[in-house]
Amino acid sequence: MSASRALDMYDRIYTTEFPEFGTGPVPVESYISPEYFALEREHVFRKSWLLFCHDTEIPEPGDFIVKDIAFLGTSIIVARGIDRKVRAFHNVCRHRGGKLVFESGRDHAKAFVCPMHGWAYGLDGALRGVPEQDRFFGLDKKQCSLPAVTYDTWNGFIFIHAQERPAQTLREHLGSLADAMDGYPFEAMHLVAEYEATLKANWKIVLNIFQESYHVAMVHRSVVPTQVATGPNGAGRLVYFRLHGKHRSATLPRNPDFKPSPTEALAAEFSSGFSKMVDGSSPDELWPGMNPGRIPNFSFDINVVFPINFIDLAQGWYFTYEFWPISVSETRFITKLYFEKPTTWSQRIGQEFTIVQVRDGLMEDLPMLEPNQDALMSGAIKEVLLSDQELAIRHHHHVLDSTIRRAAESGMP
Amino acid sequence: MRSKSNEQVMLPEAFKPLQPLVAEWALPTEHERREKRATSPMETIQDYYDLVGPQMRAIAAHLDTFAIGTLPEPETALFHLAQMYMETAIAVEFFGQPEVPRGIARQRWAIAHSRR
Repeated sequence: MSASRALDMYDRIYTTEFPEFGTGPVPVESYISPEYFALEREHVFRKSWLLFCHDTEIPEPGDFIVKDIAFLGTSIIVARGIDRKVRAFHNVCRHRGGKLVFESGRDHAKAFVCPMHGWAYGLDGALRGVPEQDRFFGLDKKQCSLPAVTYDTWNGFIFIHAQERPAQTLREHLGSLADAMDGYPFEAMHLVAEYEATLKANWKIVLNIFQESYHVAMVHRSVVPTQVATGPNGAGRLVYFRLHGKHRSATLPRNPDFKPSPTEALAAEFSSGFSKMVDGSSPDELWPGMNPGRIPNFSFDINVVFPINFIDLAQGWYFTYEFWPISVSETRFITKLYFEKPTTWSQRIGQEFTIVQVRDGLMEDLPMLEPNQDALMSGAIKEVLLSDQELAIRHHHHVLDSTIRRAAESGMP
Repeated sequence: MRSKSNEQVMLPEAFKPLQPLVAEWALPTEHERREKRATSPMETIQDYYDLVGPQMRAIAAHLDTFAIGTLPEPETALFHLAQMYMETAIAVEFFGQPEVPRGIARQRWAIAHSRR
């Protein structure tokens, strides 16, 4: 890439390409108002596809994942049945509403047995056994399967939906973002790490720090000192912002003059990972589904799946974010890291450095968020200012506001 | 989970200099390795880094003679030592201290999937 083209890339202004978004300040109301949160819950969270897991995380019949979904007030089980089909249920016994599986997380079972009275369900949710069944009156087991949760899949990602009949399929919801990401070899990857934190901050406060790179120079001084916000792109700007309806993408460039530390270099010798240089302009080298700008100094793509998820893609690894809203000022944040399945132990060892670096890098972001929320809740400022590089934040607000406004105007329940 | 105490696992002969590290540092879960780094003095972390770093290519080459999957106990210990090296490396090369500078308390950043 010529030097002048590189400068153009870093200096391009994106926001003014979308006059409908404006360039003005954004009110703080949506970060602090319980009334706005209630509207988000009814018109956004309850009407959107929400990422639950990837099906490679439950590869064998009997594998299942349990997750509490706070804003729905429910716990959900996603299980792979004997028939290898994946299904989603409420974690609720048909008898008297007992919780079927107490521990959240990933596990394996041949059946689900309620700990209160022993009602037993197959992995397909069918009620198989009822102790003292003849003491019930007209009990029809076939009518007592575990309550189903709507789900749909795309490239192995399992998304759930609060409606029995969502207005759009998952693929329709993803739209052109799915077109852009299709071809990335998700099925050849596997989960290597998962982390979570519950933060006293609005879900958008948590989400927003990850859809801009403006913070990198200040926040990641220890974990990522020179790989991004140094060199010709000294501010670490994102490039190639793309809007995909409600969703959006951008590409994070790597500092082309980046000199890896000794262990970053060692890890890059062994495997793909954060510090491995990839020629993003080479069609032979670059994986499909990312870096549409074909920038040579490619780090990873940010892909925001409205409303609460990211599926960020890199060469040989990817990571997802889940921002589960609990209340206007509390969020459960989950990060999952996936890698290509190693064929050698040296590959496996090399991947370990990226895992540690991502885990520790996120520890730099998280302390920013609760004080940010407190400050906004104090009322000291009434609006936030957004630069061109914070277009993703501006777009997110625009989509939220227009979704809620449309629902209110149409008198939708 | 360890099937027996680390003290009893003998590394392959070529890695005899690392044998004193096995009992304390060949930790099988990410949680244990992160805790070990966080609760060790920086000098200790540096010593580990200095001792294991030069062996990393040899460790990888030795482990590469085994198929991906379950390793025998000596090689499992070597693998955990290599994982532990990665923890110490970021502290030595980036932090200059055991924990992430200005980072959130690690107890708040829970490791939910630690089986590796």
